[in-house]
Amino acid sequence: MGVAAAIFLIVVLFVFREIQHNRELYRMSRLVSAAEAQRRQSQELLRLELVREARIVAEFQTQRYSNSFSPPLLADFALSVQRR
Amino acid sequence: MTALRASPGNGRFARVAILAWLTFAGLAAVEWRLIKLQVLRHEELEEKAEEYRFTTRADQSWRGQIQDRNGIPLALTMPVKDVYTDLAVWTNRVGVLAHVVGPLLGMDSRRLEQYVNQRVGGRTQATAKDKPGVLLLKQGISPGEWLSIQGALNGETFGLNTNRLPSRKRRLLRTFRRWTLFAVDDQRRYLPYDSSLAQVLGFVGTGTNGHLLQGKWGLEAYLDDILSGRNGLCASSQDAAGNELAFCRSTDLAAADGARVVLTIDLPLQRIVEQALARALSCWKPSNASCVVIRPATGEILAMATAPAFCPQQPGGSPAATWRNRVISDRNEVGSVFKVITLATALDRGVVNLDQPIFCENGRWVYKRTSLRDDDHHYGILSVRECLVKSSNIGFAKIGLMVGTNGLYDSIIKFGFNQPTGLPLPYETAGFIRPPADWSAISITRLAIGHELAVSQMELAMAYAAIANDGRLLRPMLVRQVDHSDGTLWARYEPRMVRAVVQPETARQVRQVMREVVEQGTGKLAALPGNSAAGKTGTAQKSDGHRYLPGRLYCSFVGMLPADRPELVIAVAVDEPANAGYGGTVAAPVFREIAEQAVALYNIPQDKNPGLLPAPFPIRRRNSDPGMVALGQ
Repeated sequence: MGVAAAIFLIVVLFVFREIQHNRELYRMSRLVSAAEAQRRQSQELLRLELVREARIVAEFQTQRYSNSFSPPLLADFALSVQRR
Repeated sequence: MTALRASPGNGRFARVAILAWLTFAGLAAVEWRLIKLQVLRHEELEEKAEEYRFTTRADQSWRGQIQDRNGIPLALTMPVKDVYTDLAVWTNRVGVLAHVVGPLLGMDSRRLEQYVNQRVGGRTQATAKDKPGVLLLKQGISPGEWLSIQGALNGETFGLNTNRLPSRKRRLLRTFRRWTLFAVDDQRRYLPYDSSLAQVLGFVGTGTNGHLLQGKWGLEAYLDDILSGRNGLCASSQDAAGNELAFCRSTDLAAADGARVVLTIDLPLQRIVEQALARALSCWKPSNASCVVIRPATGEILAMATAPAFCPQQPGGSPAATWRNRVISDRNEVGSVFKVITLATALDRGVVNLDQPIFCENGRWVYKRTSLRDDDHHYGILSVRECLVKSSNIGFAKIGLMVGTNGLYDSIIKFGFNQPTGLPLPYETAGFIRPPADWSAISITRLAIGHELAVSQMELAMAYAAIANDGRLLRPMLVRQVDHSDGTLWARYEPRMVRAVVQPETARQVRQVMREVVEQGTGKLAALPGNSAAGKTGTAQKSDGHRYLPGRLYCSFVGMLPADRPELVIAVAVDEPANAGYGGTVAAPVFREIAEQAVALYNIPQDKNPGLLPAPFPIRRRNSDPGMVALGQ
């Protein structure tokens, strides 16, 4: 009787351990999914920020050249063989 | 009597026996069911379970940026959301849900109701983006908009009384909130400069190659593979609620974003060129105008434009003809601009020298029973130099004869004509020049003056760039560098010389004469106030393949500055100007306008005294349009 009870207890322990292990895996899995969602969201934000910056630069460039005959500012780029 | 009465022990045994039989029968039934499920239908059910459990998800890569040479983004990818609905939740509740969803998406509730009713009733065809059982309601909303829609949806009661809601209704509310609207990630190409560089960049469309976006035209199409990157793939299992079980992943391949492509284009100069072409378009009303600016020392293309342009974000809104990058896709008989090639060939071969006299037949020459004219000019004896300055057809026809058929043809091929320049752009055309075996008796006199041939503006600009570069023909460069998405260098492109086409001294002599063309000849309207320029005008009648069409001209000017050591080569073409005109009157002012601003942009020092220069007297500025120069009355 005592042996049977012991075996039963061991089996129950194993079952609980397995359940606990699976719950842990499931929790980790959710964490991984959440982290990936977070990464995707941060990538989206980064892209949106790039678009916002590009929009500002475009606005600046458009205003810079809107007056057709006003001499434009010097570009950052200069020809390598430029003579001053 | 006593024997017939059943003993209590017998009755208990019978009950136990019946119970045992029932238990056995029950267990046998369960066993049979188990055998049926696990043995007989094992494969079928396992397949079904796997089908449900197994899930794959494509991790979409981000399409790479295209930048100008200064790092200014010209095309970039922005995240957007496509909003769908699950049609199952609409059953019997179309009115209620339309009333909720309509305002959230900025749609008319009644029209939405009709739309959903039609789809539920199967009366309208599904769109390409619709999936079975779901309906696309709105495309391309920003992630921020979607967040606010989600927030509003989570507070929505859908007409249910939320006080002490029974569990069945609570589940229903959760279903409504989860599936009435849901978003799917999408991407959109954003072009900060709208139609700027439209024909070069091209446009993207919905991907048919596994990517959300696919290049359909221009650079976007040509470099689609490296701009698209590689999608990631995640193969895994999911639980009953549809949550992915990350620990069951069998494949986990991360997405590699598309590469960043850095062009040789200089956006400020590009904008200058586009504005100049836009003004030419409004002033001369041509069918189109195009321009390319090249840095001859490296072959880099600093600007390339065709007007009218189109909006790459809505290419269908403009005629397909506006999509053409005419600098590379069109080939034309170019006329007198080609005389520079003939002159360079003749000088390089020692056939003529600049001061050699040529009799120009007083304006009309009959050769092999075919007449050739110098328009309304009656030139007598002109030096070779004057032949180019005054653009004498007869003079150059005679120079062509002196060079000879094979000599001229070989030189033309050496200058890079008749073959694509190798730009990373689709639909580049090569020039068309017949081999000498197919020439008629007078062909050489016509090819020498830029007729009986068709060349692209790109080929012509590169040939002029060779002259500007002391006779060295370079391969044109449009892509300067390609970087991986993490910023590390993938490839950097260096200038590549194709071949030396003429000797440096020949190139110098040709530039010197071209300078005279601008200062005294047909290209006076291209002259700059403080900087020297060299160039050549060209006016050619267009043909329909059988005969020349009166009044339909192809006007061009190809020039370079400064004349003695050119930094820039600018080729301008104005196709079929409505008010007629010549290359010298239509295209040369466009050159001047671009060159003037390029001088300021690149701080090119003045190399001539503006006071000594005659003002180009036919030019006056119109009061109504101060930006455009026009001919005097």
